[in-house]
Amino acid sequence: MERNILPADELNAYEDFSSRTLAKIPTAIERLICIASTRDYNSGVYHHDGLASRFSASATAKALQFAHIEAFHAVSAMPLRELSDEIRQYMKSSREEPAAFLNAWQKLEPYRVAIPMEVDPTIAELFVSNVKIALAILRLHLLRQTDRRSDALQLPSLGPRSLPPLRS
Amino acid sequence: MIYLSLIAAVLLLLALVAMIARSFQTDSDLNFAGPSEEASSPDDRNNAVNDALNLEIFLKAFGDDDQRFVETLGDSRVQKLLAYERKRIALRWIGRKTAEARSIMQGHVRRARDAKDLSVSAEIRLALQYVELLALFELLSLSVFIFGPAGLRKWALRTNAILSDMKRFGQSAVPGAVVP
Repeated sequence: MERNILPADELNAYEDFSSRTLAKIPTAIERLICIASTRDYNSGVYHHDGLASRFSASATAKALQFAHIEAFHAVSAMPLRELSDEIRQYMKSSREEPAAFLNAWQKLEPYRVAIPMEVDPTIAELFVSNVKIALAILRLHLLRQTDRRSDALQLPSLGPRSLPPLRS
Repeated sequence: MIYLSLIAAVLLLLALVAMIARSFQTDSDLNFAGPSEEASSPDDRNNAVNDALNLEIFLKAFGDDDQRFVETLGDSRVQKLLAYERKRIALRWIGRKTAEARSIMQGHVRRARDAKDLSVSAEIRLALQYVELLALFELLSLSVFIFGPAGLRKWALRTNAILSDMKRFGQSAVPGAVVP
């Protein structure tokens, strides 16, 4: 997306938001969630009191909308390796138990609220699809970690050890 | 005689596969941007930039990187999930592009009805482009359905180029018509 399509006041609000808020957030997925949280679920309008005190409410809303679409495109274009790493980091920063986090994300699919309204429907579907696959990858890592831990906790036996069951 | 029966059977099978492939292309619950909203956007340049960006993001997903990464994990369920999801997204994209081509053609036909001086050569060119595009989409959906989306990249660029050309040409081919 081209930033120069924004009028001057919206561009200033966007740059202010990027430098003061977004620059401090380490991962793209966290930036996306942060921007999506400024959107009212009922009206779809973006609000940010800090920005609105320096710029007009309309310029603030447009700047946030632009930042949202930009962040969304960045996450949608991410390779799966990078996306699953980002979600893992976000999961750590949430301080939730990994199993509980994965359960909630896989069942409730809260990441759907991070999709902006004005995006191409195919890219929106690709985003949901990529997050689903990334979550399946994280679930796999979690299962393997659990298997390794339970193997390490087993008491050494004198007889020949049987192989763990194969996961297909 | 037996060869004719075989050819007929193969054609019927292909038609059946095409029908099944098309059934995968129904719209999902993620269709936020309605077609009217897209069409009424004032900034054509921005739309063109967005279209190019969307295509770039879409095609990136069909590169080798994700496939190779998932293979290193050594888990067949994740591999199957990736293959299924990529095929689903590819078929959905083809379905949306087919609908877009149909909508361009319908819009053009509506405008052409009110036109005072139609150019026959322009109309033939547009009709041929439309038929070529529909045939390409059918072949593409058949190929994605049977072999997966591996060959999508090259054909997606070609079909998108024809579609953009058709969009531009369809709007300018009816000089005397009142554009709504």
